Amino acid sequence: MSDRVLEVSGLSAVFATREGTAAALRDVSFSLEAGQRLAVVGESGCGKSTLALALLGLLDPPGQMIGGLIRLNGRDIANLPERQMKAIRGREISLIFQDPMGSLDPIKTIGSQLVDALRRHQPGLARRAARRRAVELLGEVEIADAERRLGDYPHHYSGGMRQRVMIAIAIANNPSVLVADEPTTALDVTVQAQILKLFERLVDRRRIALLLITHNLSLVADFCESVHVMYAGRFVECGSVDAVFNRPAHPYTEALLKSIPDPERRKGRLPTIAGLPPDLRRLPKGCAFEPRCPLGNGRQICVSVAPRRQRVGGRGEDASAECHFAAEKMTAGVVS
Amino acid sequence: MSDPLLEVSNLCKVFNFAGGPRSSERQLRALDGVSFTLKRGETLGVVGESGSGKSTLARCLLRLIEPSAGSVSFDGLDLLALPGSELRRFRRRMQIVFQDATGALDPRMTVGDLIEEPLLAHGIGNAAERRRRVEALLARISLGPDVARRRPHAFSGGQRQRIGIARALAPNPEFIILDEPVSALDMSIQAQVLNLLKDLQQELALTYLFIVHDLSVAEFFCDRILVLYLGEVMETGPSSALFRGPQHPYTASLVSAIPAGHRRERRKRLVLQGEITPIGANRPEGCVFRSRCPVGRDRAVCAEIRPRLQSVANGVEVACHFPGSLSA
Repeated sequence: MSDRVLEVSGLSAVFATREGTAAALRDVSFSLEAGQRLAVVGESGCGKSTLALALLGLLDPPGQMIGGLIRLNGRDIANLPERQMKAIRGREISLIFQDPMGSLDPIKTIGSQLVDALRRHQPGLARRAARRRAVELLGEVEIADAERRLGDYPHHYSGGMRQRVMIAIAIANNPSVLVADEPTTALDVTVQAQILKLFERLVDRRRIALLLITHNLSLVADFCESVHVMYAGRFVECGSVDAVFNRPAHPYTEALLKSIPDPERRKGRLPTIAGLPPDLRRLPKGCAFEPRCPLGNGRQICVSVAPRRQRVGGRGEDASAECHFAAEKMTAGVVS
Repeated sequence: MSDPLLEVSNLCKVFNFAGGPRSSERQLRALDGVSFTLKRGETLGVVGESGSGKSTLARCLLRLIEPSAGSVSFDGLDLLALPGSELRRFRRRMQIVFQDATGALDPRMTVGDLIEEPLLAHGIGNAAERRRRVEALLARISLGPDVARRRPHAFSGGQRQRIGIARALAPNPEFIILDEPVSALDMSIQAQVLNLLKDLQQELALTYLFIVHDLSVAEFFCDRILVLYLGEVMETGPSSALFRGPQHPYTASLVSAIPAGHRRERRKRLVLQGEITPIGANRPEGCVFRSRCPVGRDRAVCAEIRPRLQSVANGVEVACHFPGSLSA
């Protein structure tokens, strides 16, 4: 039996705006296996949060999915009515946001929110049994003195503990896929390290497939096995973290990696990416990164033809880059 | 050796609250005995978790809030003794850039007015001179003069932060406090703003106090580092020495929590247990970091005696009874 729990193909989504339609996701495909940790990285506005919402069926107007399949545990959920999505959300696929305070109800105790989450999908579960499960769940996310802390309200908890509660709620019904959208961005580095450790243990113990969405490349390097780099609504490079970070095949990935402050070059300036991401309502005909690209800038093929997904030599089947010159870049070993 | 621009000694701040069920909870010790000096043209990075006192320190230096005790000398001037009118005049020399550029810029004002405002407040120049200054500042942050008539919402996050920087530069200060200026920005934009700040520092001989929670930015950008925990200095010293061989267990944990990034060296993770918990009026005996410290948690001396800052090698000072226990 295959361990593939999520398979997304050709996913496209748009946002209606006053000045036209913005292409937020353009033909996005990927798959996730049980126990896998996959990162989607990109900058603000590249479509990574739209992807999270689309996967959970939470993309509301002005956003809209316009095509693609989302096969979760063998069933396509891309166009399910909300009633059926409700039964799936939290039970087969869960989402964790950056801001736990915004996701928790401030006037309900932590315990009752956990009990609600459990009983939403297990209506037959008695209150007392649900409470016992809630204590176990808090223990699993490593909240000390769980029994007593069940009666606390969200404001009694610190930011890190609230995020732990969100994780407990997300895993309460044992989903096979967990989507975490910037789960540690608002936290201190020390607490971030604790939360990542916790994710690591949960993924291993429960064989959850984790999709980590983040703008923080360094975090990805330490924590995930594979990474998809997103730009203007498309995955421009995919591959194992080791390969992508050591030898990026796409000029955008390379530019992003270079912009991380490197203490070894303190005296120098940081390399930057010129210009701004393209307007998603007026995407260029060719490569979306071309206007900012040190490699393709001005080259005829980059201006006029959108690059297709191509394999990157010497890497696995899942590795790809969307660049006309990726192969050339890799064989030449050019560091532009 | 260049002369110190800023000398801070034994700075303390206790906040008093009206509420709180117990009397000990009506007070919060935000800063306790913070001392450091900052030389002209230098950048001091202040690091520590939320609640460690970084922003309180910044606000005390500007006297946006009044310190409870201690002294601050700026270029030989006793800052804490300045009466209100002189303080306002003095603030021309010391400016601040905030993390949230959107919140710091009045949405109803035009960019030109926003940059001109500090000039007006300090009575600098006539209308024509001020307009020229605004244009020059806009050019310096790579925005054309035509943007002066637009309002902040028309700009991206990175551009707004540049406008915040131009506003801080307007009265020609010597010293700028940077309170997490790049934390809210995307990586490629963060690099642009860091470059701009570095260039400005060189051109204008600026001195920076850089409050930062991203330690890879701190290591890249700062000459010296001050590590705060619950309002006390745990360790301070040159950036390179401190990151290469952290002496305090707290610094060591912070450094080990930096994701290795594209350098991809696998390092052993020291995951710190627990979270920072504010202390009320009564400081516990011993070391404030003890409850989370993998080295001193069960040691008697750490529970009984407050460690004082002491010099170790390479210009590093550390407040720990067992310095270097966790360095690699």
